[in-house]
Amino acid sequence: MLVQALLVALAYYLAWFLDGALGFQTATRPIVLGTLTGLLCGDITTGVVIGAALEAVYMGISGIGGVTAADYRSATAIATGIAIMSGISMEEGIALAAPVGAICVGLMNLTAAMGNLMEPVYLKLAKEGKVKEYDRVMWLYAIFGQHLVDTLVIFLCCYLGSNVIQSAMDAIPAWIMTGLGASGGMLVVVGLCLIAQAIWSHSTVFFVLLGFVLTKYLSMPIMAVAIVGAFLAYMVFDRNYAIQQVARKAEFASGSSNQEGEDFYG
Amino acid sequence: MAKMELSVQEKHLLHQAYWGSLSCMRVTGNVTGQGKSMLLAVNPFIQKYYKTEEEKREAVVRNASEFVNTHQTMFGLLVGIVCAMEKERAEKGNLDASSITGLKASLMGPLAGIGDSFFFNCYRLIVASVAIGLSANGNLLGPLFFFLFYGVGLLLIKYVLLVQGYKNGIALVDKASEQGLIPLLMDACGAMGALMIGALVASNVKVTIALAPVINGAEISIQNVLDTVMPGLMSLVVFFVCMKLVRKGVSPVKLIFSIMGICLVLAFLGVF
Repeated sequence: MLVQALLVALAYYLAWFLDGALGFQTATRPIVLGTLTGLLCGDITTGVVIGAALEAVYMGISGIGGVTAADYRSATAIATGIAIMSGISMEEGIALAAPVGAICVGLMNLTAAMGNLMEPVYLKLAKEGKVKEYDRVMWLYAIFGQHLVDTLVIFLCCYLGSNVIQSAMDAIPAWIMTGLGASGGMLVVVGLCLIAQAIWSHSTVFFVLLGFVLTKYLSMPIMAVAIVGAFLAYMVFDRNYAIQQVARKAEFASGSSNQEGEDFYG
Repeated sequence: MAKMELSVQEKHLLHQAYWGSLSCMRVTGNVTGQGKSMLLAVNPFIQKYYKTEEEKREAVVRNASEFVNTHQTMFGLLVGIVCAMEKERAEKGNLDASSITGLKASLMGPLAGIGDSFFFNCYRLIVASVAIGLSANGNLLGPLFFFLFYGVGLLLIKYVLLVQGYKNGIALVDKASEQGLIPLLMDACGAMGALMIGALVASNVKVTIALAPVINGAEISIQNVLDTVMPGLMSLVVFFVCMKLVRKGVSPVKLIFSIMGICLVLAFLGVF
């Protein structure tokens, strides 16, 4: 059981690390993660078959009997690993993985809060101009912090069973998780404020409110808001352009009275 | 756009920027999102073209502290454009820092939309369908096909987008600068940027109040009351309070800790 749990957790961790290092969402897709898990657990053929089947499930092409785990990454690693090593079917593996995925999703607030606590470190390093160290801290966090909690949970769930972990998690007061979750939802505001601060002008508040209303009240998707934004930007540009031309003309007129503003659209 | 040859030095810097841009999913955080990666990507250009230490430091802090969130492939295009603008700003001084920020804020939303619908919801499904077909009987060709065409393919597309973003960015800034249109474009960018920030506040900032006091035997959900005033009112309030504090010069670090602390206390009291 120990080896099995370690291998499953390792496959999950490696896939996430590869995705983080290269900045794409490929290694954690079921078809690749399943293969990777198969490779580690010693049966690559089964890994490919289960990975491909799960890819289809999570693409919505084919359904699966019974439960579908919400978190496809932990589901793929656990279902593939356990199916290979204890000979159960993929569907049974998924059923085992479903509560683990739920626990992982529940702990996302904790992981996010850990990441948010790192932000002051990054800001400090940036202020000191230490970009090399900045890069290094990002790597260190990617290796030791980013997926530490979920990898650990997957390992423990496979080793001890998910009921044990669930009851351990229930011991954490709910308000801690709720509070961390709420702070995650609010902290985005800091980065947005820093942007707004940089582009601040007398009309910023007006446009921020307009963008908010378009998105909240009219439920417009971001592309639609962007198109409206492009029109508005053009109108602002056009008005300023006209003002600039008038100002130039006035300059010409006061300079030499018979000069014509022929390069109007130059 | 005019054809433009990149110098050896620029090519070298663009390669460095590309390696930096690969970090866009290395670490996540709610505060700056992919801003950290933006710094790593633009840094080679900052170090090369800005002359004084103060200028370099300003550009580093600015890029590190601004929120960026977009599709990881389209991120390349954004990085290319920002690199071009930082270079033009450093060399010719014809650009204001706010125009770079404004452009970032304007573009990241739509780029995320395009990237998600094209790469994630269309291209991925096509590649995955073929890969699933190839995987029958456990053939390793399937996963390999997916990895090469989806993973590596998108990395190549990202590189092309980065170089094109850079070239077109330089050409655009030069052209606008020749015609004296830079200040006008800055205003326009600022307007669109602010609009997109409003949209991001609406979609990304989440404040849900669970408190529902019982008055005269009737349970009154504060969240419902607030929603009838204006949906998402609290996100807007949080944004403008933070904005006020930021404009007063309160450091972002202080804000981060205060928000986390206040949230924990309010959650303990049962407000969230």
